[in-house]
Amino acid sequence: MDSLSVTPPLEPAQGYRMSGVSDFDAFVAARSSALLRTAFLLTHDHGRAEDLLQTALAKGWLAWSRIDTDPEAYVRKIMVNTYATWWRRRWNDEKPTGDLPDAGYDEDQSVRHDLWAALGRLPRGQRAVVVLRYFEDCSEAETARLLECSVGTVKSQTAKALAKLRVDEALFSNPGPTGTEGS
Amino acid sequence: MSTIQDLRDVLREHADSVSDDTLPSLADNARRQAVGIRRRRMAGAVAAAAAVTALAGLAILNVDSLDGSRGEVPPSGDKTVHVPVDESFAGRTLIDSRSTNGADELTLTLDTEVPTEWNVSCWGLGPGYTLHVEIDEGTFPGERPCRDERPADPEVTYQLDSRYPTGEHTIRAWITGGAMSVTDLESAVLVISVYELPDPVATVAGIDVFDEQFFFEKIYSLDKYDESNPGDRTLKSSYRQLTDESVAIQILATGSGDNPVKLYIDGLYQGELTIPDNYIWGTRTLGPHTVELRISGAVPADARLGVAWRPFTRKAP
Repeated sequence: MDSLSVTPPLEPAQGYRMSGVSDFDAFVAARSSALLRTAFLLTHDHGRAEDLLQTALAKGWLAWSRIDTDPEAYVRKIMVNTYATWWRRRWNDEKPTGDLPDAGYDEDQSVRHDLWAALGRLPRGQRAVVVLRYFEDCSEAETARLLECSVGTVKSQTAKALAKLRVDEALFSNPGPTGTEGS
Repeated sequence: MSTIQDLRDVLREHADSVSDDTLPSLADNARRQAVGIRRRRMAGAVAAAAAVTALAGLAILNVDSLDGSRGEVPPSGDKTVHVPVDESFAGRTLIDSRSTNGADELTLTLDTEVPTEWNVSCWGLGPGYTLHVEIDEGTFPGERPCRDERPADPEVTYQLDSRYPTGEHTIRAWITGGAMSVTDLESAVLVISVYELPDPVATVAGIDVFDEQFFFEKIYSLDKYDESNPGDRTLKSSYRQLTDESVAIQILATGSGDNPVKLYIDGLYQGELTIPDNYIWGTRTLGPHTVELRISGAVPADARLGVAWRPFTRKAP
């Protein structure tokens, strides 16, 4: 496993009984930072990330009394799907992803800068897949469940995203959570 | 060529850069926003079949982005200005318009004998402020982030087509923002324009559909449509775009209740609609395309789904 630190999902045993204001407040206080990080990776914008998180929490609050287990997973799913439908009117014309510069980017900073910029140019669905797979460490099956699509779609979207990012999976020596369970 | 590890590093690096110093009030803000969402869901259920094109259905965005109150709004006075709007577009003909600069609210009342389209725009403040719109005191409430620059398309559009009574209607637009100041408001522009709708060329899922539709500075004309029978759970529609130009996909859904409708384009899940809805969802380019709409949960007996395909016709003048 690589060095990525991912905050573990909230265990129901940690005591968030989804029943009232105080439980909701406790949940938000405990988990909003982690959720905000994901929101930022999705939106690439601090303001929109906060709006996205707040909207997801608002929807989560509406269902709070019905959430049986793992409210973070519930809110995260709302957030990812809300992001997928946000700004949908701007989702048009299938704008081609700009080409990344080729040679001369062997320095880490340049590579990272270009990768971040290229991430911002990915279609929302592909960006969501990348964030879930390589930041949240979700399996393909988990990613499919969160995005309400098939594992095959996750695979194809991941492949397209990595191609656009010019990321070669073969160059990664540590496979990490790239299994295909659930497929 | 980068590696997966590079990608992970970049994601982690940027995630770590996120400041969460605005989070203490997040729970309160979320609960306030939830009240607005619930109110709109109820309004949506009551106001079945609002022919709200394009952005009005995006009201769920940026709900009460700040405190949802009217903010510290300075006295407005007469801030009426003249902002030019199109005399006609896509078969619509201007009936009246009103605009204001430096005020937080604008209202327009019109008594017409014809079906109309009401467009509202707000700019000059940026997305930290929210534009709210409603017709006839609470009907079809919608809201959108304000823009910095004048947008190409109106922010919110209401089509009061042949299903709605003609006569007097009042549209009200107002701006909220937690830190709204006199200085901010000076740059705020609100515009309402009302157009006479052309005769519809079809009725799809119970909603009037017009030959031409404006979408991001382009005109798209109706070429083909499909609709479900009342009470059907799903609708599938296919289209082959034969040119390099794009084809716009209009999604329509009517019926009682507020069931979510899942949308799939070319097999990919895109998101959820809520009955009633009428959107230009987006465009696609060359090739065969499919749209599938699927109602979740119990299907109301009067639920209708529709898909209209609109190839690009011309750039708007």
